[in-house]
Formats: sequence, structure tokens, C-alpha cells
Amino acid sequence: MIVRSLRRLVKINLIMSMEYRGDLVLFMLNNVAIPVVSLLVWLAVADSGVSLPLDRTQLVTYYLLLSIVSMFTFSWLAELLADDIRLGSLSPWLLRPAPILLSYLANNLSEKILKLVALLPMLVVVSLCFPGDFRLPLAPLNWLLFLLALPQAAALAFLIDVIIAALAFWVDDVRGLSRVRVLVATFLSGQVVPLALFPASLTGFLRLQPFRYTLSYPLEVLTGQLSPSDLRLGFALQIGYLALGWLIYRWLWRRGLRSYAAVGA
Amino acid sequence: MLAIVREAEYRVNFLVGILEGFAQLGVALLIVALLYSYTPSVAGWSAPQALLLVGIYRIADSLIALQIAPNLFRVGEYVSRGDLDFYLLRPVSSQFLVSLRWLQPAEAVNALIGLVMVVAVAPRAGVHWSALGVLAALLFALSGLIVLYALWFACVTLSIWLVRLGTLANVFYAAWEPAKYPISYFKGFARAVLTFVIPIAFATSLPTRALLGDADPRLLAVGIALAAVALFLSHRFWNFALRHYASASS
Repeated sequence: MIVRSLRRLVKINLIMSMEYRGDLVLFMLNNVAIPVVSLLVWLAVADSGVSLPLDRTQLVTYYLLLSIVSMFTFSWLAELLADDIRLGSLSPWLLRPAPILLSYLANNLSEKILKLVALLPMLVVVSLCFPGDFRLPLAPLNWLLFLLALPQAAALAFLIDVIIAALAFWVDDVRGLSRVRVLVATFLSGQVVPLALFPASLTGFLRLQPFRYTLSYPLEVLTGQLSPSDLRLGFALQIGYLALGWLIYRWLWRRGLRSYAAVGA
Repeated sequence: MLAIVREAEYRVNFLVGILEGFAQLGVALLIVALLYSYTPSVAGWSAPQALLLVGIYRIADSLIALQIAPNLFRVGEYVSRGDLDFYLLRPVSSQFLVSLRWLQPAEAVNALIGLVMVVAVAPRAGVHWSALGVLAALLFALSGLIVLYALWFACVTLSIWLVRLGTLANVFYAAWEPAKYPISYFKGFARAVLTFVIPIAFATSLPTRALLGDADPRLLAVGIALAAVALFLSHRFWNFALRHYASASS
């Protein structure tokens, strides 16, 4: 039932997203350009003779794959859902068979399908500019684990956004919190700089904090940077954070809906 | 009542604009800190010099957000809603009108913050303040920003034919991204493009070098020439496009 609704919603959203596919393509330009700029900057550091924790190949591979992985795990629903709650447009959804979150999920998935189509050719072109250094990992085990870590990362990012949006049941303006989340996540997820390049004193904290599992972790799994014990701990933490996020979301959402209905919206 | 609501929202947006500026500045500072935690010099730039450039970048970015961006965002809307006619009836050049109509005042504060940063970092970076240096810096920055404006305006002009092109801000900001770093971080082809085709170098790196006293003066002449040519070409292109617009909307 849920799956059928989701499929239908994804189809509807795909049609809607096709309307502004030009925007999506241009949006992907940023997704590629910004990591490439960061990459060139770090290559300049590496070229000045300094030994970095990551070598040229690892840097190039990380930043090029970053554009796809960050696109896949990106979530944008916090302020939109908060608006739905604040302005009462949540109400019609409460009467429908499919929950509103399913609609947001469908929107999320459909846009990502289109973005992937736009992104892949750009990525191929850019990778040709780094002929010697882009090393696409070939080990099948890495890919299997990556295909497990990636959707979990996207789900975790989605959940964090839903939790922030759910606060709109009680707080008037969630935008500030959402912006703070974006700012913090930008650094702690490895979006701007690979976590491996942070000062060594922060390694422990960076490995355990949740934002690592929304972006950096699938990348680390794919590029084979992790030992088997690292992988066990990593997956345990990723699934743990997902479970925790789910519990918090259910708890907040249930209490929020109760207070929402009480106001008679 | 409505006036108060609008006042409050205006003030909130003002505050948000300043906080976003602070946040972006923080991101740039953290990146510089990470880069220079490994080495005292990258491509000939020391950490204080890189910070000086970040301050200049903050000023340039704020000026774009203050004056250029608010107007160019709207031109696309004018085209799709047919509001352009309002500007075409005036005796003054429509490009002039649509480009200068709006301002985003919060960004003036961000520019000021950039200025404070520049002044604060200057001694550590090795700046010896001189009127000539400041003038050269201003001219470099102005020529760079004018060419960037002309390029962005040309893209926006395209929306007269391709109305569904969207905001195009993404294209601009993708190209603007390297401006927060010294141009010497980039090599070869990329560096040539970023100096003469999409002159990011003129907007941030060269003004910084001018303050540090070692900018090539010939480049200043090149910059001014580029700015004049770019402005002229964008004007011609705009007027060419308007002929198409006029024929389409009657």
C-alpha cells in the first residue's frame, strides 16, 4: 500500500520536476564546480611539497565522487515541511491515505533521479581533466558496502531534516536552526574538506559524530579507506544513528500532531 | 498593522543577511586555517595574505550581493512577466534602469565587516598602506566586477529567448567560487581562464596584490580595457535582444 502510493507519488513528482529540469541542470553545475575548486586548492597544497594524509589520487577521487554522493544524500525539506506545519497545509494530508512525509520522500527521490541524469555526463567530462589521478574503485565488495551505506546516509540526512521541521509544531521560526544545521553539516559531513584532512586531534570526534554518516562514510567505504573493524564500527554507528533518528522523529511527530490537532487547525 | 509586519520582516531579513554573511566568512576562515595547518606558504601566499584576500573577497561578494545580484535576479522575472515594457518606455537606457533599480542594504554591513577584516589582517600580511595601492586595488576590483556583471547580464539577456532558463545565479556563483582563493592556487589553463575570460583574478587576487604592493601595473590597463569592452558588448547584445522581445510581446 505504502509502496504503491510512493510509486505513484514519485511518478507525479518526476513530471513536476521535469518542468524545471533546466534549473536542475544548472544546479548540478554548482555541485560539480565547487568540489573541483576545492580539489584544485588542495592539489596546490600537495604540490608545494607538503605531505597530506591523502595523496593526489585519493584527493581527486574523493572530490569527484563527492558531487554524486552529496547530490544523493542532500535533503532540502526542513523549511518546506516547517512551513506546511506552520501554515496549516499539513491538514489535508492528515485525511489522506498517504502520509505527508511520503510526498516529501517522493519529491526527494524524483529530483535525485533527474539530477543524476544531469550530473553523470558532467562528471565524466571533469574526470577526463584529471587523467592520471581519478581512480574509480573496482573492488566489488567496496561497491556492495557502498550501495548499503549510501541510501542509509540519504535516509539519515532526510531524518535529521524531518526532526528539525517537526520542531515547527512548537517553535515559530525553524529557519535559523535549519541554517545552522546546514552550516554545521557542511563541515562535519566532509562536504567542504575530506574529514581525513582535519587536524589529528579531532579524528576521534569526527569519526563518531552523526554527520559523518550522511556523506563522508559512504565515500570512505567506496574508496576503500576503511579496515574491517572500521567498517563494523561504522555500519553499527550509521544504523544506530538511523534508529535513534527514527525514534526521535516518531516521538516528536506524534506529540506534534496531537498539539497541532488540539489547536483545531 | 501591515506596516509593522513589513518592518519586522524587513528587519529579520536584514539580520538573516548579516548572519549568512558571517557564516560564509566563517567557512572561508576555517578553510584557510585547515590549508595552512599543513604549511606556512601555499603557491607563494602566506596565511595572513590568504586571510587578507578573504577580507577582500568578503567586500567584493557583498558588493555583488548589494547591487548586482538583486537586479539581475529580477530581470528574468521582468522578461517572463512582460514587465520589461515599463523600462523600455523610458528615455534612459533600459539596461541602466534594470541594473541599478534595487539594492540589498544588509550587504553594506557585510562589506563593512570585510573592510574591518582587511584592516585588521593588513599589518600581519605585510601591507604598507599607500594612496596609490588603495587606488590600484579599487580599480582592479571595479574592472573585475564590471566584467563579471557584463558576463552575468549577457546570460540574463539570453533569457529573452530562453525564458525558462531560470535564475542563472547558479552559473554565476559556480564561476565566482574560486574568488575566495588566491589565483596562484590554480595552474595553467584554469588560471588563464580565471584571469582573462571570467576575471575572478581582477576581482579579488589582484586588488590584494595591489595592497601588498606587487601587482603588475600593465594588468591594470588590461583590466580597464576589458571592463570597457565587456560593458560595450553587453549593451549591444541587450539592445539586440530587445528587438526580439519587442516583436514577440506585441
